[in-house]
Amino acid sequence: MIAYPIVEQMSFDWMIALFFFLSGTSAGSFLFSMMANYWKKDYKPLATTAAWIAPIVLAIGMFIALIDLGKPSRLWRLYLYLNPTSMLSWGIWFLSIFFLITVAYLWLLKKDENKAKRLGYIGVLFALAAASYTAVLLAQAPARALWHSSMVPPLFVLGGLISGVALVILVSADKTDRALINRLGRGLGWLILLELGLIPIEVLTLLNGGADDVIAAKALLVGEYSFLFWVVEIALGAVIPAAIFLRAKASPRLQSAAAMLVLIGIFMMRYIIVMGGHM
Amino acid sequence: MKKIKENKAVALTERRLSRRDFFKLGGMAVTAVAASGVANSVAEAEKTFSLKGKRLAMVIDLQRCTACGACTIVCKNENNVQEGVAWAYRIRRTSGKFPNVRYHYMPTLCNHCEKAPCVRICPTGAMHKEDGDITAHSPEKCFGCKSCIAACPYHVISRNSRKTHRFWRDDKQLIKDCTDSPKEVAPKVGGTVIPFYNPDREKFRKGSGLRYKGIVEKCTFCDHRVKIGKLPYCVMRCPANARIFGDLNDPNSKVSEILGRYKPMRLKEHLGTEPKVFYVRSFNPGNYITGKGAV
Repeated sequence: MIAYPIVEQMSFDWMIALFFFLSGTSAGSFLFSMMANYWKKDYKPLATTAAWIAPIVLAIGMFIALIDLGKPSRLWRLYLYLNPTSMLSWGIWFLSIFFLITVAYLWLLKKDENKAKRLGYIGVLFALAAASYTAVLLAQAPARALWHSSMVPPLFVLGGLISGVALVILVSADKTDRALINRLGRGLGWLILLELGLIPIEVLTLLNGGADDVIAAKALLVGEYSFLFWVVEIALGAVIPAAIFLRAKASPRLQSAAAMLVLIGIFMMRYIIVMGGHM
Repeated sequence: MKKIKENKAVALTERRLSRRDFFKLGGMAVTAVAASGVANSVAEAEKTFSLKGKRLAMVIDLQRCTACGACTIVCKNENNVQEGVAWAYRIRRTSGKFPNVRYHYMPTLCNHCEKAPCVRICPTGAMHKEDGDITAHSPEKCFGCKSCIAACPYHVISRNSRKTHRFWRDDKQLIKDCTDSPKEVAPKVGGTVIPFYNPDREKFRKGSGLRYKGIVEKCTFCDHRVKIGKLPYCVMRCPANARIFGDLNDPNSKVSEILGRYKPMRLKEHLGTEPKVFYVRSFNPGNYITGKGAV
């Protein structure tokens, strides 16, 4: 930053971005599983796949966050002490309870559908909390413009839903009924368009803000992160897969490729926000 | 394992002290002086100083500051801060075009904010406010999540992730044929050298003398010195008296006097962190001939 040119240590880096991505994906696939089971019942064949994805992806994400710590052996301190003003202090409970719920939900799906449903509704709350607390955690840093954008929480929740559904498509593209996947793909296409609509709002708000906000916005648009932003996040990660999914008929292989691109695009969205905060 | 390490550290205290004081006195010290330093510090440990109700702050007079960088160096002497990290640092900027060039120099350190974002974000309470309104850090509670580094608007917190203290393997002598090289000192202290051990800090906060790898660290306002009634080391060693330390709640303190006299500036005030490091005046060379200007 112009006002304060001191060499700083990188606080949150790509590992944290990957953790945000994986926890969001887990929450998204859990939400999709609940939706498929109890709301849009045509998608029921995919519900179990999504229910499997949630705990596995979350476990990987939490492991990555753990090895990013300086002293992972002291993680227990996080459970024993609650600082009510610290989002991270709440977040560990959101994540842990959400993880337990996803595991129990997966188990109950085979045993007792009714209990799974009741647990699932609580799980929806924790999924939303797990997907959005990370955005509020970023907003607790007062001097980092990009982390303060009001669009970050919706982008994180929506991004989680998009990457969760994309992962479900990627895993089951060639095994499941074509018509079903095509319909889900179209739904995903619209979600991606919705996310593409949020990004201009974020950038325009920043461009009209204070000096720090403008620096952050310019880093995205024309500066250090412009290639990642325009090419990887917008073009490869959103526009091209949205076009593939919204087309009436796409081959399973093309759909898998598009789902992969979506995953890369959503990760890049989080990566740019996390790294761009250091501008 | 940890216990053994600490015991060794305590055993090392006296020997290390003489070495530390040697450096503190800027290389002028002879052994006799160093020995008396040990005696002094033992006596000082008896009387501790209550900081309750105080609001400790620092004023940096930029008119007096000569940009010598002594604060950065002596901070490293006192706290054994490793390479690549500086608790006392500076903002440097050259502006203008020759011959109208200006060089800006602004010493920086942890601002010990009254509403510290690092305290707000710390999930384990390791970063906390202490008597004297010092933003302190308990190393044994910290697990290195880096959220305080993210939250700090002043970039003064860092995580100790380096391989610590390579210098003990260093065989360069500071003054040739006069001082011992670290390599020669290492066997004399038993071969078990604890990196960055600070015996003074260990007295007041258990575990903070050792500087573990993987936890965050920052300027402490030299609370190990302040608690025995001494000034922070950068204040004490500033050759230009540009750093003034004291209690904001005491209207008769030096800091209150200076803050009443000059309009202070603080870094990133708009963030509402209420920093307690104040800057007064600025280096202002020369004068100008009065005039009304022209259209």
